[in-house]
Amino acid sequence: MLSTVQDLGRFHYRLDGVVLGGALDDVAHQVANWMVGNSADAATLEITLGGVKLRFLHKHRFSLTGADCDAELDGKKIRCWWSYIAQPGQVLHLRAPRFGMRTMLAVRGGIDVPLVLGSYSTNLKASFGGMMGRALKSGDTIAVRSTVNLAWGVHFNPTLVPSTNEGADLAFGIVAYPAYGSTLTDSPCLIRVIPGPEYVRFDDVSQHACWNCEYKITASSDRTAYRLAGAPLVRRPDKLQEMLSHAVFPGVIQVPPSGQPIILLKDAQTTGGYPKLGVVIAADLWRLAQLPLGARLQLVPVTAEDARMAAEDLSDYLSQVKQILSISD
Amino acid sequence: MDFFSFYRLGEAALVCSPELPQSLQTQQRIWQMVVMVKQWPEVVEIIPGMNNLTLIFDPAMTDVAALEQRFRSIAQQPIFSTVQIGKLVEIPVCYGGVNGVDLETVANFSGLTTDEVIHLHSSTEYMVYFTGFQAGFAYLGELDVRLHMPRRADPRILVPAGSVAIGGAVTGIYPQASPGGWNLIGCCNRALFDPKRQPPALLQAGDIVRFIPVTEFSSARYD
Repeated sequence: MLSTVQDLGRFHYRLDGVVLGGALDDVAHQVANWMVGNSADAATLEITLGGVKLRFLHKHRFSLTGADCDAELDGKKIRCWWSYIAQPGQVLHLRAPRFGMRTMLAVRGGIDVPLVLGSYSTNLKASFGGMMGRALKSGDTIAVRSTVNLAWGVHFNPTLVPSTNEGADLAFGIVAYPAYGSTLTDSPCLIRVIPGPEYVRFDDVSQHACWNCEYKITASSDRTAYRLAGAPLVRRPDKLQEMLSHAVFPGVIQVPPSGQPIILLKDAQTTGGYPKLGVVIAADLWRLAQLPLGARLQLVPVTAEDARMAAEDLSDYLSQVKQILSISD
Repeated sequence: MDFFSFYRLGEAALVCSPELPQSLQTQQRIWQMVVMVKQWPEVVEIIPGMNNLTLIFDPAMTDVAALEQRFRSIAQQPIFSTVQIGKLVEIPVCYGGVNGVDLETVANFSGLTTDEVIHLHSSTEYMVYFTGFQAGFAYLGELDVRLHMPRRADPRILVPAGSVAIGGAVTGIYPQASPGGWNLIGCCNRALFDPKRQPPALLQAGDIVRFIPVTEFSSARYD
């Protein structure tokens, strides 16, 4: 029940300790934007666990991607991974998703919030960016950027939507990335990890357990990190004192003294001092972030080459989506 | 400088890390490397830590072996005499009481009186080693060895913004209210982070910080 304005993240300020931020499911974020004719970095709403009603004050093209919330527009069922036109006064209702955790809502033109330190994303920790540095609350009015200078939109791919005036009002859908289906329903969900520098510091039992035991995502998880519960990971006794603070980033799996792994997400702090078991590959970070609290996952060790191939698959899907929507870079 | 090790962390990061105890000289080398790496187009983020440096790159656009080679080569260069010396920042601090609930704990741990802790903490000039952990949080050294104190085993759920704290061998100030495991000895009222400022963090690597003990603040909050 947390809704925030997000984009692809706030780059180049981690030197100042500023978190990366941005949509946790950046696949859904980008596709949502493209489906309304925005560029990938336009601001969208990230809606966690649905439960939201929004009234459109003006006519807008919008899209929903990510977790399917059985959405309705004025009581009429609409689909996730689709793009629609809303008329002034129409109410969009998102229920709790049956699978998945986060739904992206894009509006043509993009959510109109000021660019702060190069990003529209909400920094909840330092209270800036997005909607006045905070999550949305009941009664908020969300501004939408003017679409006057937005080139794409009525020039939808003619095979998909006829580029006539009436065609511009049509609804259309995109096939979600194939991994969505299995991610949101499989249990445990397999999350691919490149082992990290301190992996060898864990004892043999722990090195075996981390790839063979299921972990549960605990309730004390948020946009900062997923805190897992499962087989505790124990370090070999070593003479090394406390580790010096070093960079951490989304995907890094830290193991604090409790032995219960913590997987960092987009709002993770920039540095930390715990040993790093490994790093979740980029192509699985969005899947991870779609797992609801209480979900079970299993870590799978892979190589950097596996990560590269997975990233290529994802990038191929995104290219196909752009091609279908006649978007050029 | 053979004492650095280099390794890849995940698919998109390279880390340069020393094998020697923490030193200011190593950190000055890190600052120098940051300045050089800023010119490299394939590097999307540069994150210095305590005596270490992490580069984040776009793996689809980067020859990782070549990047690592360049990374290694700049670690070998001598430290320039022009290595950055920053501005002096004086920070008034209310020590103890509700502003620094762990002051007595630190005093007991170190075998000093609270006045001695305050005196030791405020009679040194600190260097900003790097800014990390949270927006505007500067890691300050060298902390007098008598004040070194382990982080709390059980971190607090909420540390007030402006808290001046000791974590192991360094001291720092929490810019925002947040969870935290450091020992709180005082409080300041300076804005350590302001997204409207450029750079947004008040304390930058190489800056010198001096804490001035005060009994109350003359203004509510100033920049």
